Amino acid sequence: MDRFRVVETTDALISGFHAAVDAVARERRFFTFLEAPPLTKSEEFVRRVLMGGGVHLVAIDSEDQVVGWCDIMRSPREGFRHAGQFGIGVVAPFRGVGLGRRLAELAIESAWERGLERIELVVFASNARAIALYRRLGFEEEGVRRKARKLDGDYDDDLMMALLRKY
Amino acid sequence: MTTIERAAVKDVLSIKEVLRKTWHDTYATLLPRTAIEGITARWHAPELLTEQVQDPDIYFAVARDGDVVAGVISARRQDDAIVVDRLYVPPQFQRCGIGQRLLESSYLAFRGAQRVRLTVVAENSKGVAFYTKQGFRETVRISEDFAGARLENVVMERQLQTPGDVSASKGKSS
Repeated sequence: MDRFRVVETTDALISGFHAAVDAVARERRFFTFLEAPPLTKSEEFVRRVLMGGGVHLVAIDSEDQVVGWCDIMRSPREGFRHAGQFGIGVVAPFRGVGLGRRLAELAIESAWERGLERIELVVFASNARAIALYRRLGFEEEGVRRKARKLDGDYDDDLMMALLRKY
Repeated sequence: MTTIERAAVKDVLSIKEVLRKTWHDTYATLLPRTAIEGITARWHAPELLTEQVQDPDIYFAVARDGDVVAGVISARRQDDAIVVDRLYVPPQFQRCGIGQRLLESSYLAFRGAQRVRLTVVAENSKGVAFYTKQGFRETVRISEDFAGARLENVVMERQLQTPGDVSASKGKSS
């Protein structure tokens, strides 16, 4: 039986987070980038998220390997600090066991606790599985950028979704 | 006589009450009261439940005992599996077979699915025992720090019988 833990991302886990992002990016389907940015950028990103009052969680297996993540980056700009950008991923072999959902639910609860009122994301319209999860979490569609991506000859739309804190 | 029916929009407030009470009953010793209130207010908001009841991709059903909602299930299809997102039977209606009937109604709603998957909190021993009796086996454990408490979620799965494989329901899940 597999055992996983969902924890806040510590410095020791950043390289694992980076490797997980890279693995998902290389599937070429889900992200705007096709491989992870340099490790130093990932380190900066995680620290900026956490220092800025956002949320950064990873799911790790029993050997502390990162198999998924969820982050909510709070906007640093005045007038937008109540809003956060949502990101999530689970590496391929560990999909379909509910890890993404656990990560997302925890990150969202944690964001509300930290005073966020709006969580927004952009997802490719072809990513049905992610969209189904976001809808279940209460995200609503706010707009579409048509033919936003053209990759390997195929077009894809960008779907903008957001979740508002209601209570 | 308890009947199982698809949930309707008029049931939403009764459903919300069942979810809220069952959450308090299940998590009272595991999570702070304020955390439970916050979670049930947000995750079981009437607008959200209304949307789910109307969503053609979700099987949302209730057990009715006269005018009273005596149980709730919501489930959906994901690849070859049925994922049961909720199954709640209020304490006074437990041990009457309602949970089993709700669960089995979801198998019929998604014919052709090969497995059923759900998540239960490890400390919810009544829940784990019930699902074990229904043929579910533990596949994954996910632990997390939540609202200042350490919770352990158990993912459980059972196979569904497929034609020509009558032993499947007794089979161990991967």
